[in-house]
Amino acid sequence: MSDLSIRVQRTSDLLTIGLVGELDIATARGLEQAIREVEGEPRVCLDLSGLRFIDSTGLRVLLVADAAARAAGRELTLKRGPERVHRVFRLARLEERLSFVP
Amino acid sequence: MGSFGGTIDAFQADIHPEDHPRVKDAIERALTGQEPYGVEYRIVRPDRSQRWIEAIGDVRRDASGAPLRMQGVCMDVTDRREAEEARARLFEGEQVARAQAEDARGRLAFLAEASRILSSSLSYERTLAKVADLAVPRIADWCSVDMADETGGLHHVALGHTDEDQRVLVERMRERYPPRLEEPEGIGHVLRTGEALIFPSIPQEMIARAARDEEHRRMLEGLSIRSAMIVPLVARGRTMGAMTFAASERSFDRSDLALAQDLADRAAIAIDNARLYEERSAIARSLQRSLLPPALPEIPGVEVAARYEPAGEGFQVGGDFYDVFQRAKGEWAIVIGDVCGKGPEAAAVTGLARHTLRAAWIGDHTPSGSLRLLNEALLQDGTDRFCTVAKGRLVPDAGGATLTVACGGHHLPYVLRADGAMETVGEHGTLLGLFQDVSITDRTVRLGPGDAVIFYTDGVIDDRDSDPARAPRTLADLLEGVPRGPAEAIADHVEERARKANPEGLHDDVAIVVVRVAA
Repeated sequence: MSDLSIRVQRTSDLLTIGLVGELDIATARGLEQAIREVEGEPRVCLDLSGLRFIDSTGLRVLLVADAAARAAGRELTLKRGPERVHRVFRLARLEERLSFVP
Repeated sequence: MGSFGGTIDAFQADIHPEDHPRVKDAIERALTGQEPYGVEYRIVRPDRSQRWIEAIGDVRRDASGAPLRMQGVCMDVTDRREAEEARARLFEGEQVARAQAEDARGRLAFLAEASRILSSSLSYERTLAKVADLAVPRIADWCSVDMADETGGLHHVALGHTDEDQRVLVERMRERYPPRLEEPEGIGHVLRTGEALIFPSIPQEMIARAARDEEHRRMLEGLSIRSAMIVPLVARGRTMGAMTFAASERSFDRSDLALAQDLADRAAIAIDNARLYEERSAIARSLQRSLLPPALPEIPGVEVAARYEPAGEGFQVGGDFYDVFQRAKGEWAIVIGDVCGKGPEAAAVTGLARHTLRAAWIGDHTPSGSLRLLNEALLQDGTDRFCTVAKGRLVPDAGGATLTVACGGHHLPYVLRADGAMETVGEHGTLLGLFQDVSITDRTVRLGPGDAVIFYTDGVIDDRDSDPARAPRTLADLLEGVPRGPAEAIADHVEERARKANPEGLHDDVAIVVVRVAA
């Protein structure tokens, strides 16, 4: 069974949601919930550097969150994950559409 | 040491009356020279307490062999005797306890075996047959299973019997006089109330009462049932059937009833699971079938092979899909795709994608054009489920074939050359269904005799179980040692390697399409 731990951390006005584990069909709902809880935050960063795996359902949660943030004029950035996670974004040509930060 | 008056009579006066014959017999045998004197017996002391004495000795004889006198020793062995008796009692008690423990262990082992057998099959009918067989002869001489349907009808579904002739009799009777739900007693009662019934004995008048007519009575008597139990099959609070156990030689008791109910409880869960599984997987299968082509077309001079392996238990539909079809004379389409998620909604999107891609060929002949059309269709559909697709257009000719590939968020297909070289074909494009503007490009590659192209979905290269520090798995890793052909062998190789990479079972669907120009 896949496992995802979600850690929320605040540094001044930036809220970082750190993801460790696998973001897939089994764990995506948990992240959805966590993102909903911080909906009012003006600056959110999703840290994917601890992810081991992401599937299309996990990707969908990130894309839905990105679209919602853009529509509301909030900032949502992504910290890139290891190559096996990041290649999914490259494959789908999402590097150019999502806001990746170093 | 004991003491006695010196004569046999005086000696015998103290001996417990019950032991007299034994002592006398021992003396007799010693005197006649059959065996040395040795005997254990009780004496009754003046205070009426009893002691155990062991006497051993021999007989002195004269020159002619006639006995002169007996000499020997008597020892008080009461303590030893008592210890021995206590040990014997203990031993006996232990034997009983062990038998009980073995019985309990036997029951546990039986139930464990039952659970194992029951869980090994997800087929409803096979499960029921196993249930009946399991009970015979461990619990009963025959066992039958009756299931109730939604309309209140009863169906006799399984019968196990130790005796084939009797089994035929039971079946004949059940056919002629099927148990009825409205019966005040018997199976009807158990199904209505959910309570078990036990009949330690079955008197004549009970048979007479249960018989619907003379013929039925004769049949019931012919079965020579001495004892019976009927236990309900209950799962998720619903009594779905009953198990009947009958014995012709013995009488059932409460412990038999407990064992029968234990078996029935396990069986009920297995039956319920099997039913659920069959319902769900039948729906899933028919849905899934509608998402995959019924058969692969024949393309002159080109081999085509496809593999599809859903992850999980097989009742989650959706996800991966593929299609191979003729678009126009001499022109073929190869599609592979993956819809985000699983379940009915994902299946609906899969259906939309597959059918749109088939229809799209009518308007725009380029793969990229049809992917753009699909993107629009998905946006119009209003689903937030996206999909990734790789589409190829294959035009065979005398020297091989020309393949044009477009990808929307999907893995680029691999070209596996006849000489073993490999390369990807196509360019990464935007995934479909989320953005108005997508960037999708056609790329063309020339295929010669023996060259193959492999389209696949990400379940094939799923590497979540491997060391995260290692480079991500690519199809090239799986193609190590791949046969040079034919298409079927290449597909087999890739599928097997994908399976081996996920020994615990696939996390994600696996779909593979291989096209190869005949060598």
